[in-house]
Amino acid sequence: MLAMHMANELLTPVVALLFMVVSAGVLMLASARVGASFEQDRIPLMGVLGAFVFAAQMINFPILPGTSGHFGGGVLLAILLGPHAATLVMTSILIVQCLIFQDGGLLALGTNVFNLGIVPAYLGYALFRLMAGLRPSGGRLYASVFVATLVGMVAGAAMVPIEVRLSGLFVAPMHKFLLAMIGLHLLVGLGEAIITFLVIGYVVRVRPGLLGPVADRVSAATGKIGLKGVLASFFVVALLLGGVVAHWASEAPDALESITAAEGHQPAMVAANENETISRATAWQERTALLPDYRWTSLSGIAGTALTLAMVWLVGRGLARRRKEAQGVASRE
Amino acid sequence: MHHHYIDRFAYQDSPIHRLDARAKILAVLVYSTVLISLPRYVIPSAWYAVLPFTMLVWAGVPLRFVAKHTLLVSPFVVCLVAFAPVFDRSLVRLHGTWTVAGGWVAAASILVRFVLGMAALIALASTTRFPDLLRGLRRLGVPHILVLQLQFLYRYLFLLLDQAMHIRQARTARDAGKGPLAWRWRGGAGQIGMLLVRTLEQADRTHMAMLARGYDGTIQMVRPGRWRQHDWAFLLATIVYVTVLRWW
Repeated sequence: MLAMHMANELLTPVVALLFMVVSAGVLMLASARVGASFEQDRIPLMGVLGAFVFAAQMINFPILPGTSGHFGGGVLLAILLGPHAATLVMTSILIVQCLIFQDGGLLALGTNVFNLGIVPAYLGYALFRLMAGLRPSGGRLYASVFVATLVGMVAGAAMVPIEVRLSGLFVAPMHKFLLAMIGLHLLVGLGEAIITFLVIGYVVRVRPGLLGPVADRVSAATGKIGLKGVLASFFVVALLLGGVVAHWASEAPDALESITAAEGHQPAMVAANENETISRATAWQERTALLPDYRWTSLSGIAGTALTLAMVWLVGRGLARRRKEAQGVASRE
Repeated sequence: MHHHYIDRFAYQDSPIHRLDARAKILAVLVYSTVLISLPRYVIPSAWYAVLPFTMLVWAGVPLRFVAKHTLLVSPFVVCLVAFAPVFDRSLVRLHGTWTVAGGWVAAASILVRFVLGMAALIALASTTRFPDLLRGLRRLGVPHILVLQLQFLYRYLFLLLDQAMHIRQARTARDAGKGPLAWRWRGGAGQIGMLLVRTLEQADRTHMAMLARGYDGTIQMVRPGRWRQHDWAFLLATIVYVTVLRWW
């Protein structure tokens, strides 16, 4: 729902090149696999589906008053086309985003293809296959789509801090950055999972058979989640998010920090320096840093609470509406 | 949103527009690589701005457009960079005795690089028609099947964007942007589903039309680009320019 495109400037040439090579390797493999199972009509289908993902992003989904998100489509493509073709389609989307919309740098293409194409497509597809089996019921289909989308997207997003860290241009505590990305994408993935499932359900209902091999899998499913399903997924995400926030707020030092401490090195900042300018600069820095270290804990606590409250509010609102709708239907009948 | 909203400047004409796509792609790659190869606490000098902005101005791309576009895609980088001063407290010596916290320098450096890199990328994208760009990519060795994907994507992008906008307009006409959240989500998913159905049917028709015209798995290009002396000159000048800036 929200694509975090890596920018060139957060990478060093070596890291950019490394991911370009890795992604190019996977793409060549995927091309070979798609070419081997060459069904002529798949080629226009893939191209047009790429355009579809773009166009689908025109349709907004309200989240909280004033904010809305949109559909990402990576895992849906993997479920529809299989991981090889889906990776190719996602790559073409990322290239167009880079070259026409300048979203994501040219040198960062390798990392973007990896994070937003390869990881969600292969991981998401594998999970979907594993969980859905051959003829899933509605609940099982929903659970499979939910897990595949959530894990695929979160894993892709978690690559960003790793790549940035490898580059070393941007200094930040690794585990906080990682947890922030994971937490954010748990929410994003939840929305994406619900939309993905609803879209598959809709197409199966109005045009059974159009989805080809997938239709066999999902024909048993009605495409309706039901309140229980939504509540269950909200609950799972809330639990995961709680874990993330708790970790973020914990006082445990970074792995890296604890290593340097153990080796007796002192962080660069505390390096003994009697120079007056430097101490003054440090003091200035302390003042200008909006949120010095000790305030982070409470801030993340507040953020966590706010998120939880927002979720509870959303669920409550959904329940109330549902009840109202049900009553409306009842009274009309 | 129509075609020319996005790449309208690519259809103008100027010496920059007439350069071979390959020369421009390679030049931007070289430039961006040098830009990001600078050490963490080095802010690129103003000389780095010469290449992208010369290209933009010469090609007649309005700088307002460049600024607007850069702002549009900047949120992720800006959000991230905002945290640099919080976490990076090491001290960096600038000119002479001036010492500042590393986070501020790193943040400024990343932002300046971002603006320059964006300018270069826009200079490439808005002086080269997308079909020419694809031809250049193909001749630089990008796999055939991927280039084919891109051609289809580009061909249908604007068609489907139009359809999506129609669907969205129809929905707004009915619900005025209001209604229960769950209901709107289901509606939105239905609209995407509808778009998917139309897309899949479109793909079928396209395939039949292509077969009727004798499609055999390859796409013929009407106007193969030609590599001229200008292109050599441009590419070499770029390489010399960045080499001098970076290592001299």
